[in-house]
Amino acid sequence: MAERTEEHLRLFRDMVTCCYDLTFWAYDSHMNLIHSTSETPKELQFFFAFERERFDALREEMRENKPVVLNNPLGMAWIACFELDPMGELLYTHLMGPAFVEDVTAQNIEAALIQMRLSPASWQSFSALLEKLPVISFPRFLEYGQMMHYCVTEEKCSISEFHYVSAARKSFESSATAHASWAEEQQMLKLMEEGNLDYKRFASGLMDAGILGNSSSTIRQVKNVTIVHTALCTRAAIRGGLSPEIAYTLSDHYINSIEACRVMSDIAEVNDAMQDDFVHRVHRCRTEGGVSPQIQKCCDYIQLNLSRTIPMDELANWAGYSKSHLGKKFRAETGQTIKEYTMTCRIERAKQMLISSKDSVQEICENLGFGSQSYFGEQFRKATGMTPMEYRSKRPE
Amino acid sequence: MKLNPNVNVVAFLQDVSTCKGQVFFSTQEGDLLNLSSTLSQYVFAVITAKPELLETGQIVCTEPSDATVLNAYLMGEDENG
Repeated sequence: MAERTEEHLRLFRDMVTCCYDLTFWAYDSHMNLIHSTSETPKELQFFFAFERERFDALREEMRENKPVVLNNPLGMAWIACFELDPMGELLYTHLMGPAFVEDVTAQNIEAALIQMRLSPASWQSFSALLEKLPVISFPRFLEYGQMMHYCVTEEKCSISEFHYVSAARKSFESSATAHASWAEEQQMLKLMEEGNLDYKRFASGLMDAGILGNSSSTIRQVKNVTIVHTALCTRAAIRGGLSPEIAYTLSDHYINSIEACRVMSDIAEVNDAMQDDFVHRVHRCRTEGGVSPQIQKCCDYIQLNLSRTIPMDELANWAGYSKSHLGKKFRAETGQTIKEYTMTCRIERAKQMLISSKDSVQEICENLGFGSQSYFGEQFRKATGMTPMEYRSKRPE
Repeated sequence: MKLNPNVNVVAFLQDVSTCKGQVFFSTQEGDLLNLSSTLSQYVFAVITAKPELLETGQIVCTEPSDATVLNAYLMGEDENG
């Protein structure tokens, strides 16, 4: 292991373990264990060993050196980062975990163990092991993964660029219906890449196929699978022409929104909004071909900041133009002033939120920077011929 | 039927999943783990790391033919004692 990498990792491990009793592992290029900070490596390795097949399969398919997030049916998670030589060959795999990424999981396991009526010896063995595992919020765990990746590669990466191997997929991969589900997912991602607004025919199929969880999934499982799906949609959108900068910013926003959900229906809503957002953006990229990259950059920036009025100085600085030049160029290429374009985007977003979320009209008005509900209502009616409530109740296609 | 002391737990459990009947691991301490249950599999894996628990444990198959499937992981009849 390069001395610099080892030094970075040592400092990183020391800092993380100030907060959480996380275990770190280092494997050689053949996945033989070189080193572990665990006091009980043999037992903890069993948990990872159960996931090895899926982990190895993903590593074979990986094109980019990004962290891998792995979780198991018990709610434990690991993050793996890969140290490569200058030729791109694998030198070492650095693993962090396992950790429970949700407190509820640890409690559920304890309740299940009580029902099993284990002998004191077996209970003692297993529960002692579980008690040593830290409980960390999933977003925090992912952030540690970003840091570990930086220690190993000296490159920054977004959590949206991570590869995810989810426990929920295991049941799909082992059944004949899994092939059909996978095919549907691939078809849906293809439509997203094309910016095809008809994608919704396939989006509902994913729910039916259990791709995004089923009635027996825990909320943690559904969150994990939805996060994986978000990462896949992000990549599809980038392939479709959306700028990576915008795509990863959106992805981080949606992943944080997923994590904040407390009930399954909220996760489904965020997922719907995410899919809709990406597809529409790719669609715009593909159909508004006459717009220059700088103006497209402005449009993307406006769409990411609809909750506030962006000062002209800031927008001009973002585009790299003077204020007057930006104003003229924007109008010439889009046919709208910046103010008109911003209003159009706010109304479009409001329409999406009225259909796909349960947010009140007041909340939507505030989130989209309208200033007052009466102003929002007035602008909305001007654009659509309906009030926001009428639009929501009619749910036009 | 007793397990080999150095059994490959993951490979063993993969073969257990192909068995026709149910497969249990019982210990002298009174545990009865149904190895088709995910949680039981993890408990079982941890137990196998404790020689004193593994040595006294037994594999029980509800379907006799499954013993053939798992034969490679089991100690021979003369070693079962």
